[in-house]
Amino acid sequence: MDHSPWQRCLSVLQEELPAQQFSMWIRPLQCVIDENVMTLYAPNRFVLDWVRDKYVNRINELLTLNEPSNPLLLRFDVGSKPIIDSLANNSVETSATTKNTGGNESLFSKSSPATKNAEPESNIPKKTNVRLNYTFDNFVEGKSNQLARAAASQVADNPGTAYNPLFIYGGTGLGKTHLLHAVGNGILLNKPNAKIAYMHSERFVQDMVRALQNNAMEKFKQYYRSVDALLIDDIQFFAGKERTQEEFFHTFNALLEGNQQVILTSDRYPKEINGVDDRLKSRFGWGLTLAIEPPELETRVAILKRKAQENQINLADEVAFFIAKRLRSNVRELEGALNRVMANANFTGRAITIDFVREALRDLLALQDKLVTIDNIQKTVAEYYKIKIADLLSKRRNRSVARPRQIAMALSKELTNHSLPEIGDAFGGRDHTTVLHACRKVKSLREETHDIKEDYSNLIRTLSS
Amino acid sequence: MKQDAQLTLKVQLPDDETFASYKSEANLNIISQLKAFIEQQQETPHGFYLFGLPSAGKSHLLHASSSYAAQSGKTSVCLSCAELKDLPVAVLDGLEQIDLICLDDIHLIAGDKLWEQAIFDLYNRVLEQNKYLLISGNESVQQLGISLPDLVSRLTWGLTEQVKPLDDIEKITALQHRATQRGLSLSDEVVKFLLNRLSRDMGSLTKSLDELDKASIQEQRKITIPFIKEVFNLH
Repeated sequence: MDHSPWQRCLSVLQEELPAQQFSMWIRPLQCVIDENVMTLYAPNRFVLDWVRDKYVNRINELLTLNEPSNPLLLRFDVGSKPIIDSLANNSVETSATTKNTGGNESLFSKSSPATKNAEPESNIPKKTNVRLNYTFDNFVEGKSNQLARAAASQVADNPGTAYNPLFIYGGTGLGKTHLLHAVGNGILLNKPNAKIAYMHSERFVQDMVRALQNNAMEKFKQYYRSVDALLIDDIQFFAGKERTQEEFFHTFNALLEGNQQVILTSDRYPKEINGVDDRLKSRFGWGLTLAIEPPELETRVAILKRKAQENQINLADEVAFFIAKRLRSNVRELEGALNRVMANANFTGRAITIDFVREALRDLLALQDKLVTIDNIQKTVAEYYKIKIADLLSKRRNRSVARPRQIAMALSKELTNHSLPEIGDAFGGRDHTTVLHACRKVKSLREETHDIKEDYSNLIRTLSS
Repeated sequence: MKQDAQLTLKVQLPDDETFASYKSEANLNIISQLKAFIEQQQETPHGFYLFGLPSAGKSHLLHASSSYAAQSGKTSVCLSCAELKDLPVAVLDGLEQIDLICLDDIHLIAGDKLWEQAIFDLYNRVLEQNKYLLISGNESVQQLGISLPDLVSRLTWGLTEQVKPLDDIEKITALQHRATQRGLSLSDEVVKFLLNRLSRDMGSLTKSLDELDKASIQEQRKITIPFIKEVFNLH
């Protein structure tokens, strides 16, 4: 058990605060103690102000309680605790944003003590944040994406000269990001020292805003204009951000003039991006513009098989076809479905069969439990037994009505969260004890009578599919 | 008390929301998956989406995950969209430095373009930083009504599991467990009475327990069936 002053504070605060407050505001704080000063790092300014406003007195009290003669001095900062080990497992090296800088901090922010400790002057990005696991080799090619793949591959071999800019567009989750990273990796393969910057468009916006805030625009320009390849994903999110577009316009021109490669992706054809300056849109089309379409069945099957293979799972063809036939919209959804199937198989130890997939992906296959209401139960039961809903609510006691009513009550208890008095009310203002009796009766009838057991199962299936 | 004055909500005894206190046989598989996700065993996807009916225990699982991450030496945060939606989106800035971000009740921001965009951006930053997001909602991703397709597609990318509601026996166990945490003892008979006469979702039952807890302190009485009838005006 950790007995550091902050851990002791945390233990007390966890006892005192509702779980929600503790998890939201206190747990994300990171503590560094240096001599007599305890610094709490908050992920952003908002959290910092909130914590300082609501909890600082209590934290100070706890520090004093811990060490009455010489309590630690408390200070707050934005950022994260300095970490000496550096980079992400999957990346060669980060680009404009350093890993230790509190996320929203960047090369273009004023440095904080946290960042100073973490990476001193060598904070200048050198290589890239291209993800190594997205390559041309593991990009599954089909009719829907072969042109884009071929062009991307040529760009990787001849950056800055083949097609510049390369603009790839298509719906979400079709593999645009994969291609961007694959180009980045391809360039690095030929030229390991190449400076590749991959980022989502939002990161470019954030970097620019911070550069403006911190009077670091020169540094910003210098960095972005010095890369060998600039790969920006989802450029459509530049829409309406005029200052960003202005700056990007100049960056873009400088890169093209210097024969440095630009690759952009978007969810639509350049001319159709609303809220982006016309001169930018026209420049987007200067090089080569290519579409990625949703994958056809065979490609979807191949994607599933490849992904399964990467995870050392043997996915039978019939199972791959079963999933691929049903999930057509995009690759991300397909991969998500397979992730779910593999995780379920892993934790239950069951074989991946069509039935297993049907169960694991119930909601995706539109078979998931619906929100069942008492009204719906009454309607379904009445239809099943070919009686009127009014009969279910009436005072009539003959068996042809009473039995379906009891079954409907039992189903209401099982499939909804209504209280027994509420269920009784919904069945013509009956008492909760009547509902209780109905539930018990149906339970015993299901054990004794095959017909009732079957009726009940059929009704449950109808109501929850 | 002085320290209470600065808290935003009144202090109440916390519930022990850990995996150990989550009493549901039907969801054991989810707990195993969550633990593996937090421990980042194998090539784990970076997102995990949990959905289920209100009061199925999703918030409990998120708090438990956050707590489990902390025990495993990871940083974590648990945010509720119910609280977030009244705050500026800047509250998400920099969270990608935290190992595990739990985001509860995403359906509450569905259709809110600003928040959808902010969560989408957070997802991208989390991915960039190799960190992890655990999100809950009351519907499957496709039925959430999120208008930003990019966010929908990212939510479907990782793992997804449906949290099954507790059955009556599990509700009894869970309620008795919570009562014990409050220093109360509820007989089987009393809990069954609550289940038979009040709203039976766990959220409502927990609220009822809170009310009974308060009333029993105020009136210095044990929680018995006649006492419950008095408190909730049941006949």
